[in-house]
Amino acid sequence: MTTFDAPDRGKCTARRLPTNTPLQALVLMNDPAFIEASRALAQRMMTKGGKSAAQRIRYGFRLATARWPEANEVAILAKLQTAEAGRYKAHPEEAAKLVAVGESKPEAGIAAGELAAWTTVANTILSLDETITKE
Amino acid sequence: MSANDELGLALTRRHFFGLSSVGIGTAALASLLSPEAFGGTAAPVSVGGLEGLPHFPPKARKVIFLHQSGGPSQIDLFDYKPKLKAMEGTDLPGSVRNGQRITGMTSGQSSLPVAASMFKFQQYGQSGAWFSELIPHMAKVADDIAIVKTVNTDAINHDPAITFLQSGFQQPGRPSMGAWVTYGLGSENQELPAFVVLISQQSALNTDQPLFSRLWGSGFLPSKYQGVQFRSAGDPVLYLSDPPGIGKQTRRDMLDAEAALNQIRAKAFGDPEIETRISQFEMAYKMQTSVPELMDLSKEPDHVFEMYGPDSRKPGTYAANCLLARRLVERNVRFVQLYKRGWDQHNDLPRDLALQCQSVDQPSAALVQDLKQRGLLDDTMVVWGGEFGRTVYCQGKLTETNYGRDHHPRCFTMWMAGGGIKPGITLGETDDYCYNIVSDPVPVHDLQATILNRLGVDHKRLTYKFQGRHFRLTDVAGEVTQKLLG
Repeated sequence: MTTFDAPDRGKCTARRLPTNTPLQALVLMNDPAFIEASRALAQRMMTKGGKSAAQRIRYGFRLATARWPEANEVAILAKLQTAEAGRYKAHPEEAAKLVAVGESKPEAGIAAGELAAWTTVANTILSLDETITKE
Repeated sequence: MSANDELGLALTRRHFFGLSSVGIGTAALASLLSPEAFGGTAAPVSVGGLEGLPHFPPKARKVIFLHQSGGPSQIDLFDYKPKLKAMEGTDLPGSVRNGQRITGMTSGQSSLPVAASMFKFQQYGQSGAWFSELIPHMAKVADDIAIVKTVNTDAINHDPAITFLQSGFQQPGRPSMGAWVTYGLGSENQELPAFVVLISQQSALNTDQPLFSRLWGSGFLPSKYQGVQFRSAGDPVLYLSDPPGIGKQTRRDMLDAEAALNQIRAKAFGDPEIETRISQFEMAYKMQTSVPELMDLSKEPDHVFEMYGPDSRKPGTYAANCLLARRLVERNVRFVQLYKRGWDQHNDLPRDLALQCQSVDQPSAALVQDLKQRGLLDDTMVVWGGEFGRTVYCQGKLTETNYGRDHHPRCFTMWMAGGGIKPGITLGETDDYCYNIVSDPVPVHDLQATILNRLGVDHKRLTYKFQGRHFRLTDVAGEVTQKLLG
């Protein structure tokens, strides 16, 4: 959390100064814990969100941001999901590597290629300014 | 008022110009004129600064601020006071102290005995500047630097003093110098942050003062101007590598989707912080390539490491950070804020100051020499100094072989080099006690005004409106120190 300038609790912090650095972006993009969290959200979207891609996107987006996405927002994420699903289908070894990141095991019975593609979608949702910033 | 009107108000005039100056046209121009496109020979183009800046042709384009946190003892390093030997142990006259408040660490002492420096001084270079035996390497660059013996500050404790030196105000919340500079002048390297912070590893001495990220914060300026801190242990920047299974195209697709989503919110709310978030993700993407290249020291020849000293091969040391600072300005990073802690010698000064100088002296001098050899010193300003100096009177028990010194705000020594600073001069005189200034005082705001001046910035005209008032780095003070201009 130091990268996000969390107060050290040495004294009272009445108001935190906003911070916004590329180092924070790198954590959101590449920290294994964050990738693992993305995969866990992806699993939830796939198992609890519904059958269609749009339903899953709406479900995951709302979990992270506390609002339903607009149609144009769903479309952006659906396009990402389609592109990555195709890419991981062609490169199953890459999908296997991505879903293996972290200490928890991926849920049994979910195809690695699908899960990897949804992990990229979930990571994108979790990295949104709206998700990580309290306005 | 309708929501649309509110959005219009949120987009202030300054935001408008701020946005337009980093807009498509400028970016396109920058890519056309980028040094890479000209095989690295063209002058770098600055992107993201304010319209109308620099105010006049700059002498310096980059700054390396070597902050010696804790307060180096000017009496034992630069400000030679031979008459103190005869006054050793006598009480500091009240007429000299003149009622000045002193810290709680010595205000309870029954006496304030004068402690002369134990160290030998000698003159060096054409300029004949004085240096103590503790800093023989800095002495070798005497003719390349301007020594200012009369810097003075308003604060007597570390935190307000360091906050004052870096932000022009003793209380936290104002933008730091590096933030002001990058806000005004923009960045000349779009692959690395414009304002980089390097904190050297803790010293073995137990005299390190804490540093807080607000010291390189952006205050009320948009947060993209805050300094980006590289770590001093292990990898300087964490999580540079893509996770296993995420290839370059997947990464690009994810960033594009995320930027598109963030852009929708930025348009809806007009919050410049969302724009910052988008640009910081792009910067992170670029740093995945540029930082490993920056940190790859394999092509640095042995003689460079020898110049900076043996510590320069150990990442995170002051020596390694000085070398890294050179590599950063070589890549046109605008402002490097480099910290070295451990100068707070309240007691056991003779032993601890000598140890401290061992790790600082050679790399500091090497940085000046190295920049000069590469032709970088012409447009890079190096500033060396702490937040205050140390007292002539002894803190604790004064013996023949030992003494300590408390904080002293009324006069202390800094040096500057390059970037249009007059080389080979010593500016200012202090009295025989090294307590008060006799001539040419340089208050902290003057120092800041002078640094901005060399960057082509009129410190009175680099302002930001916040809470109904125009703020600037130098608050409501500051005069450019003309005698320092080369």
